[in-house]
Amino acid sequence: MTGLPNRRHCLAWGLASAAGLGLRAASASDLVVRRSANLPTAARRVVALEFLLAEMLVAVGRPPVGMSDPALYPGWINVQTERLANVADVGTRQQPSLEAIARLKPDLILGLTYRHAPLFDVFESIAPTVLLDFAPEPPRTRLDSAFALQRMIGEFVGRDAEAVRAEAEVSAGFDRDAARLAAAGRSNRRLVVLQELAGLDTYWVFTGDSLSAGLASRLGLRFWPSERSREGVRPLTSEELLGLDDADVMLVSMTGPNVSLDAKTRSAAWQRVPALRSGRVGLIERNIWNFGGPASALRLSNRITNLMLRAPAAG
Amino acid sequence: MSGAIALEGRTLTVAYGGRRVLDGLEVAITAGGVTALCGPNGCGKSTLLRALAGLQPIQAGSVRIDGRALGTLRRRERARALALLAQANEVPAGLTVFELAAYGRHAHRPLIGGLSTTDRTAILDALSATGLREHAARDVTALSGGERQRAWIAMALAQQCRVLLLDEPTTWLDVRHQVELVLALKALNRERGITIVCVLHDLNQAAALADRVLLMQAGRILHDGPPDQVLTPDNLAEVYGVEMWRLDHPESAAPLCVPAFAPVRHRSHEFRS
Amino acid sequence: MTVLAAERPTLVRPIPRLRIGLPIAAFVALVALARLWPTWHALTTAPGPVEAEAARFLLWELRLPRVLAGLAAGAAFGMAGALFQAVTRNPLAAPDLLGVTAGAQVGVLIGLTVPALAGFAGPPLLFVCGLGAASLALLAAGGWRAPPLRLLLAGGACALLLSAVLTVMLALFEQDIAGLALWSGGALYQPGADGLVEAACWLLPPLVALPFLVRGLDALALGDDAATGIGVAVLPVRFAGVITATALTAFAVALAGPIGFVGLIAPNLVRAAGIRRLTALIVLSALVGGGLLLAADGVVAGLGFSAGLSTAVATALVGTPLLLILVVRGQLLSPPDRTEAAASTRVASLAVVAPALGLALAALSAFGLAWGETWLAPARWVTAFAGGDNEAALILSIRGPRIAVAAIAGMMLAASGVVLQSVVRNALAGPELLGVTQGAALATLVGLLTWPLIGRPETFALALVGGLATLGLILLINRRRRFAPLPVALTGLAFSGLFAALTYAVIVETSAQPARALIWLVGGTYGRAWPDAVALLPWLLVSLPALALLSRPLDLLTLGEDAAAGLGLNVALLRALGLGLAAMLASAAVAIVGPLAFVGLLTPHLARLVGFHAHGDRLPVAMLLGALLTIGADILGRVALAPKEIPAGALTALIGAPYFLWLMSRGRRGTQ
Repeated sequence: MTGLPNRRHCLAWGLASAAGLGLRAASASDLVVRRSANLPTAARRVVALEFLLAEMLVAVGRPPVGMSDPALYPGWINVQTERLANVADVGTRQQPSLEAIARLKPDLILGLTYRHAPLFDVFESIAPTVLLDFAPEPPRTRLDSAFALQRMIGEFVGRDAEAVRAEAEVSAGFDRDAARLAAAGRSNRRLVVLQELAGLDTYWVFTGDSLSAGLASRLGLRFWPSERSREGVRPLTSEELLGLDDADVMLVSMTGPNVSLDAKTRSAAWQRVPALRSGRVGLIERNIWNFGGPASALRLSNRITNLMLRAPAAG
Repeated sequence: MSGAIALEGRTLTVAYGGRRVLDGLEVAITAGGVTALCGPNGCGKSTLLRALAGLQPIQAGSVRIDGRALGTLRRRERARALALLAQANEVPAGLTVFELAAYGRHAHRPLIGGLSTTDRTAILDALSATGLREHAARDVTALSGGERQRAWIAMALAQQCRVLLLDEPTTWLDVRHQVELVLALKALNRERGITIVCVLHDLNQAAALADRVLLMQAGRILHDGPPDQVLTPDNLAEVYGVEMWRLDHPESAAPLCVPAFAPVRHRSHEFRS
Repeated sequence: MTVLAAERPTLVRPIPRLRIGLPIAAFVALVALARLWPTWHALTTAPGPVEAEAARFLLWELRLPRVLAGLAAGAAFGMAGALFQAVTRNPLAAPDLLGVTAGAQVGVLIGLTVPALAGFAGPPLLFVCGLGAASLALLAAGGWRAPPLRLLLAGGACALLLSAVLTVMLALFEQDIAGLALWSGGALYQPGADGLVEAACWLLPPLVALPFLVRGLDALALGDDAATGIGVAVLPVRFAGVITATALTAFAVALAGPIGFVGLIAPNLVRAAGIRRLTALIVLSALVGGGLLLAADGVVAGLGFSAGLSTAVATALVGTPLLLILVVRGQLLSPPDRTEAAASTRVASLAVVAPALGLALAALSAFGLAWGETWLAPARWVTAFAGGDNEAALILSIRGPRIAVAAIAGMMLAASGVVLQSVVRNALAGPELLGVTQGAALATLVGLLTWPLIGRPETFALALVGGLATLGLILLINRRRRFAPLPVALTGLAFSGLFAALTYAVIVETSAQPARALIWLVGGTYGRAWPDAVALLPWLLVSLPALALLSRPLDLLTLGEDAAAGLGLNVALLRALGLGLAAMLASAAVAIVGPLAFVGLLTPHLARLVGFHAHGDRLPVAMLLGALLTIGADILGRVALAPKEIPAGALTALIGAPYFLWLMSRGRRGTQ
């Protein structure tokens, strides 16, 4: 919370500053904000109310019996989607159908604090419930949170060993990407990751506490911006990119592949962005890997590495 | 007084939600005359006036002005031919008398541009005719009731039309303002030859102002003629269902109608025949 | 006219236009210069050609376009507001209220989600969508002949309908639309001059049309009959007025986001300064609107808030105090009281309608308990109660409290709406209009975001504090004016705009994924449990006798303030009591179900459309209708797309608004 710039607080006349008192994760074990007293030793019928929870359950080899919006999963995460073929739909992430969850007779419900805190009592009347949070304490990043959460979920479903193995696989993947970058002399370059939005040349930029920031340090890259934010992103316009001389910019698209990078960077401001002029802007297809688990992080790592290697060598 | 017909309604039929307010009514207003429309509440006077002004959708029949069907006139032509002063008018806040009267020039002006000399002459002329020349810069809302009514008449006059329709113009005014208004209307008729049709509740005003009275009841015109012939105790009893005395004005000999304040006879068995 | 003034100075009073216009223009120019000065300074003091080139680019391609975009968008909003207010003869009209902004927002959404249109969410698409919304409102209001108030009501219903559509999309495709939410806060960032030049082309047609329209629109102030009488083609003028205002709105929304609030306050500020004639009003509204938006954008940029994010908030922050000062100083003139929206013959007496509605309520509730993904026959309810059917008991404990909460909250919101509309004497009043809902929602939302594990009593306390504090401020500001309807309504509108913008800011600033908070903001019955219903019930029970006591005085108030006072009524006290009661009902309901749209605003009209006018009849009918509507929305929201939930707040509008529009279009023309 301390990472949130103070100036934003005055916006809501200090009302928002009260948000600073919000619960934060002090360490990995504190990522569980609220949990039922009695949890099954090894849950077998798990309902996952967020994409990244489903992704982690798959990673540790215990796919959920029910999850939110399974139809949207391939479009946004698409990691090991085939193992979620038989999962039941329990509605949207924000307002899952309680009846649909109850019908599955789960022995564990996994949700997120920021979405499901008001529903804890209702969930618990159906099955033991754990609400998780992945906001990291400095200097940790959301990548650290993702690993910690996945290990924890491995424990919940009694597959600790698989969790450790999955983590090792992902780490090995990071190391391979880091080596490729080093081999091409791209280490230590500055990475900027943007999420495209609807506004004119207006984006989210992933901040120092984001998954991308964690990824950058694993890949041996520097990261911009280094400041932290509440949810790992802050808004940015193309004007800010004008001053970044030595950055590789990754733009995560919000449209289909039919809209090219050229079409997205037609404005006069973009045309003067140094990164674009030197061909160092890469377009990453539409996804939410930045808000996903370790497997998503590995996908993002591969994509970023490939795009950076395609860019011309540093001048 | 010429015999030409200025405004004519043929088989006028108006219905509100299935109830016929006017039923095949025939009326012809002579040019240059002052006609008073009288009758009990709800007899259709105001509706007839609005129909003659083309403001009231009619189910059947037609209205002709100077021999031309009102429906075929363009809106602006119509506004130059006749003006209607409604019973209650919204007064927009912050408008001066001059500005209100200037609205009357709408039908004479091109779509863009300020007031021409002709416009200004017409407006000032209308203000003079209604005695408001010196109040031109005052706020309409700051005027007395009588002055405000005259300001609206000034707006109608600024339209420079041949026919002026007024719906109960004296209703909210005190005696002095009533008299002033009646005299002003008479003067307009006499000096400018404007045809005036006026809905009036006060029969004595009608007798003083009009040269012709139309006595209406239940959507029909029952009596039509000069005041002294129409405003008879029998006719009034028939239309209003109350006993009236008929006197003569000591000076002008115009008819004066005074209620006898005798018990009211019920109309229901009076006219069901 | 100015020529005449020169010739005959005695005839026309001194014209305040120049006296007021010049300082405003000077202020706007000053703000613009202040915005441009640092860059200009950087350009003139650039040490080398490289720096100078960069500074030149900054000035000509980024700063100046942004300033011009702010000016143009604000001016367009201001002019659109003045036009809408002239067309509808209601000073509370604004682009938002005719559904035009919501329509344009749907246009942005279409531009985002239909791949073929991606990147074309420019003025034409927004214009078509905004015009579609306005046409829908017009159609329902009964075409061009519709009296202004009916038009406003239909427009309000239409706006609610469209924002409900937006919400449903948001609930179902939250990820796709997160970016839209960000844009909705208003963004003036211009990445180059070309885009602005392109956009400016769309401003030309309405600007060219304006001079031809002004005189006719001005005459509309005299009333339709008088305007017709002097030769104004009322219907075509109104038609052209709406088209022009829609085009202006579409342009402004495309440029700056949906900041329709500017369109509401700019003309009212000008009017408060004594300007009445439409030409001057439009010109000055454009200046004031442009100045407001520019100043707001300057505040945003100057304080270093997230770029482009909070223009809407800043606009509200700058504009609201101005409006409030004018209210306090009593410079807002009251328009004539408006007649009721629509009259209709009563379908049956209260003795028939109330039990019938009650029966329908019971039947719908029972049906709601039974219907769902699993059908629960009444026989299973009995075994569930006896403890023999765990599955049925679990499902009943999910469905039961939702229905109870829906019924109670629906009644409370409807009662609140009836009382407010009578006290404020404006058919557009509702808890939403007074800012009470937004105040309660803001307080609750901040609580929820601050302490995610917050309990029920705290939520209640927060909502009540928020709602009642808003009301307290409104009463305080209007105390000296004896709570006169128009100032109260304007104060309320100012607060609702401010709080809505602040709520938005809190959401966007505290969360990168605003969708989840926005879903709460539409309100709903999802996940509500028995303690919620139990907590809500006392508020309803306590207010029932108060409502019964107030209903006759409220009847008297409909005769007009003077008549009511003449009949022995303490009008000021009645207004304070009525406002207090309405605020309490609305805040308590918001604490549990969130700011449920439509119920408070439109059920009072529904009750009137089926023929109940006296408060003794209208209150119970409206309350029962409110309960029916919310329960219906609850059931449908749960079942329609199961297992996906549609927020009940979106459904109350989705069900209620079309029904309302249909009732309006088939009812006879309102009395004017």
